[in-house]
Amino acid sequence: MVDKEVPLVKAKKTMEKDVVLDPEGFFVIELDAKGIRTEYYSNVYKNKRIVSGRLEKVFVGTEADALSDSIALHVPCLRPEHYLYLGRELQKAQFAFEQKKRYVQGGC
Amino acid sequence: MIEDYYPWGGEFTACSPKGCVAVVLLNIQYNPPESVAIYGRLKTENIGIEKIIANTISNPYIRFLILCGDDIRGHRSGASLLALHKNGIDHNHRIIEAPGAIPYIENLKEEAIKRFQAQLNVVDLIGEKEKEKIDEIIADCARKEPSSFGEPYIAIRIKPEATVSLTDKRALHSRIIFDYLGNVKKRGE
Repeated sequence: MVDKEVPLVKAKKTMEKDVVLDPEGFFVIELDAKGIRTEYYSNVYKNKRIVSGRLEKVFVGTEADALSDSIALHVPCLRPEHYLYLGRELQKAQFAFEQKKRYVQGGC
Repeated sequence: MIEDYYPWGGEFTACSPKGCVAVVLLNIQYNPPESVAIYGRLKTENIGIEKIIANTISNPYIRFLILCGDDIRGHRSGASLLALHKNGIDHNHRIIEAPGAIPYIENLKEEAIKRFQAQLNVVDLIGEKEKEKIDEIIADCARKEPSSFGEPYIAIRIKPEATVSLTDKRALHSRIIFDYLGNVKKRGE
């Protein structure tokens, strides 16, 4: 007898062509001398295509968890996969900052 | 200090604050001499270019902008920056005659672009990757000893957010005053 069945989901990466760009905007993550600098831009559309962004907020810090929490608080309506992407990238950025290595923001 | 000269901030190296040369690195592994004011990489033909403009016109001592290395494939960011300096932008904010895919300037006013065109002499070394050659051009520019362009132009300033929370004792105490009898008064009353 089984009381409850729980689905087991095998992880699968979304193909780049299937990634949906977030209508709420995008982030540029860079390292500077003081730490991790994350700039939030709202999308700028031309002919229904995202061509650039308007700078809305800048987040600075050295810890991925603090930056993640602050972004979630200040930019509350992103797509779930966008938050997860940011968490991954910020962790990579923190690692690079701590190890004094070069960080290049990756794609989703 | 760096924030005063380069208010937008970003991933660049600030060297001599009164240096007259800024160096834009495209596809190149090269560290300019410490005598330059600032150097950094250019990646994109929209926000990347905007940052360069904002972070050069804010320092009036910078009078030369040297672009070196191979241009960025697809983006053509170097050539787009040259086009911006030469032609400016159209009514749609697109850089006129820029070869990049999405060369739009959305975070700067036209006045900032005019200031960029007036303050900076752009030196086109796109395709040049030889260290000695680039060093020589930088030295040539520095030897001209151009005067400062005057007042800084601040296109974007990143302002720290003012936050007050109940756990912030400093903020709370700044709002109350104790008199000589130990009575508490709110500041301003």
